[in-house]
Amino acid sequence: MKIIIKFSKVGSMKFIGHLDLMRYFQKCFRRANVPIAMSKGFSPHQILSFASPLGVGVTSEGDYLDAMLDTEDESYINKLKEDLNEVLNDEIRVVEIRRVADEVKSSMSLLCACDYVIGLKDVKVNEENKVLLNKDFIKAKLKCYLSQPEILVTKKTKKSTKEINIKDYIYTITESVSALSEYTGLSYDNILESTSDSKAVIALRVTAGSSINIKPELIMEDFVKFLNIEYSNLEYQIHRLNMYRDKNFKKGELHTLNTEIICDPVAIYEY
Amino acid sequence: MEKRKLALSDDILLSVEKPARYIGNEVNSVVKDKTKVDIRYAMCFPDVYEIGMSHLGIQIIYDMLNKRDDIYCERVYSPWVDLDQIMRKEGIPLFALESQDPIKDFDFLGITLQYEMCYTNILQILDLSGIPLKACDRGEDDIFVMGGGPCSYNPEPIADFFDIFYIGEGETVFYDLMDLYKEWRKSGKKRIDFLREAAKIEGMYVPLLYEADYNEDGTLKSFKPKYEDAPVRVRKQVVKNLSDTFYPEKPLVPYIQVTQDRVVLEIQRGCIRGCRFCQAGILYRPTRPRSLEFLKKEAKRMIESSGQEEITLSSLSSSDYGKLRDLVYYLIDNFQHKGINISLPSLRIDAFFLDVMNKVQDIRKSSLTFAPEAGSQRMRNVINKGLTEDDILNGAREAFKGGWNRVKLYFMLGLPYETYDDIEEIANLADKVARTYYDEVPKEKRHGKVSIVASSSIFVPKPFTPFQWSRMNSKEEARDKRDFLIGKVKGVLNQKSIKYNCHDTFTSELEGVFARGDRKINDVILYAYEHGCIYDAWTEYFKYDTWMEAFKECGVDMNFYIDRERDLDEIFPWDFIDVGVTKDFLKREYENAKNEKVTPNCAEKCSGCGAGVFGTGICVGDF
Ligand code: SF4
Repeated sequence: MKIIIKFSKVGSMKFIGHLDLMRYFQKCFRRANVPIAMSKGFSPHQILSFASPLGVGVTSEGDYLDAMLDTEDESYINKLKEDLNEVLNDEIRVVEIRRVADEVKSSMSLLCACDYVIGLKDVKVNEENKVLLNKDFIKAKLKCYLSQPEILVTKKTKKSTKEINIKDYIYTITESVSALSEYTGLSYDNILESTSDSKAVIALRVTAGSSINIKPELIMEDFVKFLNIEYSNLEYQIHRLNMYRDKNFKKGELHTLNTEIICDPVAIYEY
Repeated sequence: MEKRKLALSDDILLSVEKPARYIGNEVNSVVKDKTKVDIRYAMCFPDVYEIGMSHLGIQIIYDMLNKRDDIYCERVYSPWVDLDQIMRKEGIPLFALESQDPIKDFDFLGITLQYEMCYTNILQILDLSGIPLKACDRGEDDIFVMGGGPCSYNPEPIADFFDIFYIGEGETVFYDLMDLYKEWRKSGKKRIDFLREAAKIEGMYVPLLYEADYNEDGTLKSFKPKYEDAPVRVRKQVVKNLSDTFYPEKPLVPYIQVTQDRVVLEIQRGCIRGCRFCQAGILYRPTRPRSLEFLKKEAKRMIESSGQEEITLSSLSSSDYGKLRDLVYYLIDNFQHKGINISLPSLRIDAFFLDVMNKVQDIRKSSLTFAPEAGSQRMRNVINKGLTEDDILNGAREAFKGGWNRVKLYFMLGLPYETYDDIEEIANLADKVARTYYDEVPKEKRHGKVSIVASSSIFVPKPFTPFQWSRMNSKEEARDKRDFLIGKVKGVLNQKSIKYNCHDTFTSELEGVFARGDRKINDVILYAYEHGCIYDAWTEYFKYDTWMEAFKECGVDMNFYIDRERDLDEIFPWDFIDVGVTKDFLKREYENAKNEKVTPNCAEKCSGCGAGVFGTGICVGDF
């Protein structure tokens, strides 16, 4: 059966890149004796994939991993969460596991948006930037910022740099996680000290996915410059709150990646 | 949630390469309450994390020390050059990975010495930790610095920097030393008192307690203890029963990919072969196999506790392990279907090898490995390498028929008594292997061309080998030989199928000096370190000119150590170490080399090398 694992990754684990994280998960699956389906061939590997790689330095409480299991026993899912949390370290935790129909496309291909909160690291608060923690100020400034006819930023990829209008890809930017929560109608755990409402500068929802992926630091940099404050990426902690796909694969209504229930809605929602 | 406190700030970790090298918290790393232990031990591999983490020896000691509730053993590796710069600039002390506490606060720093080219990295570790570099400058409250591993069998070139060298295998008297330390600390006695007591534990060498005197020509006149109660000779410590000893139950599993990213199963220690250039072959005598039951149990336990997807067997000569077939088939039968790869060391090519390889590897992607070490049979007799041309060509033929078409050949240049004819034979041997392919495999069955990679390293004479008396080739001679060989490879029939690689000649000379160096070398290493040398084993950081300047400034002549055939009665700096194997045996072997006379291996016939004093392993028929 196909499952989607929602997990968090905080603390020192933010220094582990996504390829290493994948290897870490593979070893954890083995140590927990999980009946993971294997690919065929001379060097078989576990069938696993992330919804979207998390950059080094970024933390998350809403990342997703698709996996295929060699069992159809749904009651195993509860045990699996326990077993995995037993072998995972304190800074990477399984939040929830849900079954989806085998034919559901990969989370990576369904992904369309992410929520983030960006906070000012404690040690980085100084005279010049402490204004970033003034909620009223930020709220007012965001209003101006978002009312610009277009927001042009330079996007660098390995091959090229191009200017794009990111305004089209911003769902919202707010001054705190609670404000974002009001907008999205969802609640967040926001498990990090450094992104609590008193330390947060902005909380936002942006377009994500394989065709267009907006990195939150791109917006942060542009916004901070808009405020005439010097920007350094080392000053901020970016924390991913959750990831979404379009309901019915159309733009508009969003659902967290693991809410699509095709097989047996009751059994899954009950726990 | 309580956050683990790291020694380095976010800013630093995000600005260096691979920050995961410095955060610890790997799977199976040990967490203890440091207020509840008596001894804090920092175990160090003085090279970058990915190399250090791949070393089995450290994992054995780590596991062994942490079995005791009163000891907390943690790890430390050399910060990479990027972090090194930052730590110096910002005055950040070197820290241990587990607790992230400064090394300086520990009771012991143990450094494993696996190769000579890490010597400046030792000083980097001490310096960044804020520990006085020289043992004689350390005060009552300073940490004790210990050394161990293969290079400690000639500890003299780095003797100034260590308080204690542990000569021999770690599983043996470590606990005794730790107990002694606890007692000493309770007693309130002086630092030197602990060192003097430590020297009484068999295998412990405390350089401060010894004095070296030199003749006018620079050779050693005498080497003796300054105190009556320090032993005149230090005997290496040997594990008597390798099937009833410590083995890492829960191997550490790194987050980032390291050099040896797999479970390592050491199937036996020592080697029966007696190749005359090989130091390990003498140091680890006698050969001691581990029992099949022990290995099965450990393999299973380690695979389960690590989640690794690969297991590899390790030993100096795996084909000589008597229960190899049983072990390998056990691993295949029990783990392969679980997706565990079984990686085998280079083995003798026979029916068993071909069968196993077909099961565990995609043969079209793997290559055969032979280490003839020399091109001509005459030379192979000189070095006592019992591998004949027939062995190689027959093995290659069988493997080619089985679908292989890649071969790696390893050689050495600059061996004692080597002639240009012998070197030419390297090219000819490579060519013969290629011919075998084209002669034996019909066109329609070939998977493309045969590919042969021949590599040569420069021979470095090592202590405790029959060639410890030999003169080493200068880098000019080595370069001439290499160029000659390049020409010869170009001249053979199948030259298009043969690729030839040669090692750097600069580092080999330095390695030669360190290997057979004496106490005078300490100053040279210190000078080089103080003038910016670290990571000498990494070609991109090796500073040849600085090293040459160091020798000049310290008034030490490199050629004294390399460009000189030693007198048979010369006292060597390492003579005070007793490895079991006697100097008489080595002399005999040196003579045999000169006469191109082959000495049978331990399984065929005992040659009375001296290692029998340990009363274990092959010497008492356990093989
Ligand atoms: S004493 Fe004999 S059997 Fe033992 S290691 Fe030496 S040569 Fe080999």
